[in-house]
Amino acid sequence: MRFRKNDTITLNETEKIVVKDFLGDGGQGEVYLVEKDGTNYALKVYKNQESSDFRYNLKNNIERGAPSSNFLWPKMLLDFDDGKIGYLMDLRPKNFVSFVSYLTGTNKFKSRGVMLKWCIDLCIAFKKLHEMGYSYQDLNDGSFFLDPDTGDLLICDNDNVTADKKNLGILGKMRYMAPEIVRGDKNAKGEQQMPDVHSDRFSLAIILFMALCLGNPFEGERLKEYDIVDEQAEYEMFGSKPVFVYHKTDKSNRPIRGYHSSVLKRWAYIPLYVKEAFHRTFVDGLTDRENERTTELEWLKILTKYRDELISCPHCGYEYIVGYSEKKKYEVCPLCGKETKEICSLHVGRNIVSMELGKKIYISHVDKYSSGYNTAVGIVVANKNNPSLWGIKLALNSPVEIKDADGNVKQIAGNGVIPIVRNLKIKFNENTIGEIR
Amino acid sequence: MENKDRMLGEGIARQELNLLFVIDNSGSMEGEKLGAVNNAIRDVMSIMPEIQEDTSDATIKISALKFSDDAKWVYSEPKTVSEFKWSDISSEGGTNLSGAYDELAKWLTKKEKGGQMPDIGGVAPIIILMTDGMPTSYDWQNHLDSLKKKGWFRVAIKYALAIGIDTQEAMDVLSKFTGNPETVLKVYTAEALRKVIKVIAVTASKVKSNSSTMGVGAGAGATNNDVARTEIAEKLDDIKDVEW
Repeated sequence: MRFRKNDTITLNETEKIVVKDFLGDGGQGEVYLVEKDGTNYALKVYKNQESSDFRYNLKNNIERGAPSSNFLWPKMLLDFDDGKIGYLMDLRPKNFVSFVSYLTGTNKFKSRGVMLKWCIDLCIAFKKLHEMGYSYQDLNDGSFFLDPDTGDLLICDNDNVTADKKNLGILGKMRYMAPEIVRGDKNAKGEQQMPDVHSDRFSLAIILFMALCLGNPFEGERLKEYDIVDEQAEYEMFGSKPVFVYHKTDKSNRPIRGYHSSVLKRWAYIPLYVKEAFHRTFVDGLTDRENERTTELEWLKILTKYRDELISCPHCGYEYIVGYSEKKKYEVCPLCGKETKEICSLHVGRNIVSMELGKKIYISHVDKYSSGYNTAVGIVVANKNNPSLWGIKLALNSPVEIKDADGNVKQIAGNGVIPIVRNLKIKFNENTIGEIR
Repeated sequence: MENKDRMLGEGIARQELNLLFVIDNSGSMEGEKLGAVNNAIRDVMSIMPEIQEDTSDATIKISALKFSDDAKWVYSEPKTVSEFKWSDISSEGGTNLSGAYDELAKWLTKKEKGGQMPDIGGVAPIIILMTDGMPTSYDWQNHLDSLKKKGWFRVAIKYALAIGIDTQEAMDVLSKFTGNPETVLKVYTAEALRKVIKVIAVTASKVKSNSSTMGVGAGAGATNNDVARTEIAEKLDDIKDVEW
């Protein structure tokens, strides 16, 4: 260990950092709890002498700042006398638990809607990261944290984030890497293909699949071909011969009954358009890395659509979809088998939002150019005096106009409540008219 | 509303990583040697939950085999980190290494064939052998040859701790077990023994419970076993009274 409790690190004549505790050893470096100017931070100190490129990249990232508040981003670079470096970052708040603990079943999201909120946040965060010209390069199960009650997201281990097409030597973690990176393919310039936005997108799809299905999209029957899962087996499963477990025609790698139980149970109730997006990335995207990997924006449209059509069974509470895009709508709850409730829906633009209590409307629903996929502007509530009357409680800056089936027009204040009645038209703004059906 | 996803499967299917302690508890191990072993395993077990919590790639399973006149497993099957409870072991009898090799060979067989290794999705195990002298079973070489036929043994990352052993003959026995003289460590004090067990068990578990991380340049193409060995070697440098 480099530091002990109560050690001080002098930054300059006036500033110093006090080491308060050792937090952990992450292989690459040690992490300490420190205090600077009365605020606690995490300090990461690298064990090895890092290259000048690595230091420059870190410094540059700190200066440019985090893509969004979801990133636990380096805040201040430290140079030590022996040439080693470190950086300060904010501490991870206590309400966050690891994505690993979700995968292993130790922690659960409060509801499927909350899980989808987390997935949507993840896509927004990567969209922003990529828009800034960065790529993350090392997505894996250890990178992410979640608040199980709110679905809030935190992204850690941002040390390898670089300008896209630049690389600091890391290729990634097996099982999460894109196949061309595992194989070490040559790119058009004849150089080894290094991680970039396109490999990020492949890995992002793996993380989303894991979040939704609790399994790896390339681990199925083929596991049985290997007595021991060693590097060679991983190379074949994730590099040279990857087969998506739900490949439409090649059924050789289906999840194993009794072993991949979570995937088998969960995949069955995922909407078709989500399945198609996975299939595209994990089948066509294996070879066409630039065009067939579902982008963040595409995921956002798909996942918000999924969230919009979620309903919960009034009998058992299980959350499932109405099934607008399925071959057949769900007439009974897939879990308890009782009849699906009749429910109104708000049709606005291409969106269909099922109007059940607590359901939210987001800016992205009423402004198709907005990226406010998780910024609510309305929530379905019940009337306090008459709970059978429902409405959309607005949180808008300007009033909206509503017109009922008889043609009566009324203004509703930006913080007012729109009654949920069939055939009511809602003019959110000049370009956006919705209807309750 | 109660979360109904609970009913939809308990979690991700994970690979199984087996950590095996093979402990000589013959008469000569009595006293501080076995004391240090007992202590070390307790230390390891206090750190294991953290290692297990940090990965979704593998479930760690632990087994312990003690051998004196006979070889006996502490539990009849590999246990998870939360299930494995250590009871101090005490010394008795001779050093029947052949018996230990036979038991290991049976254990390192798939469950469907009567052993204890997973039928699907197992990664190369970690085996740590600790002993303080020459085996009293002279036919150990034949038993080792049978053990070496087991794939699980061949791919395992193997360490042997030579506790206070000075003869080349005894060292050779252990080199033949690990297949690599560099992973036979001479340990001279109880304190060093405790630290070495901890470093090997903890570091190897940490590295091997995660899928390999790949980089370019130095270390490219290294297996998880190589990475674990390198990290262990770096950490052993800090411990006194160890030779390797």
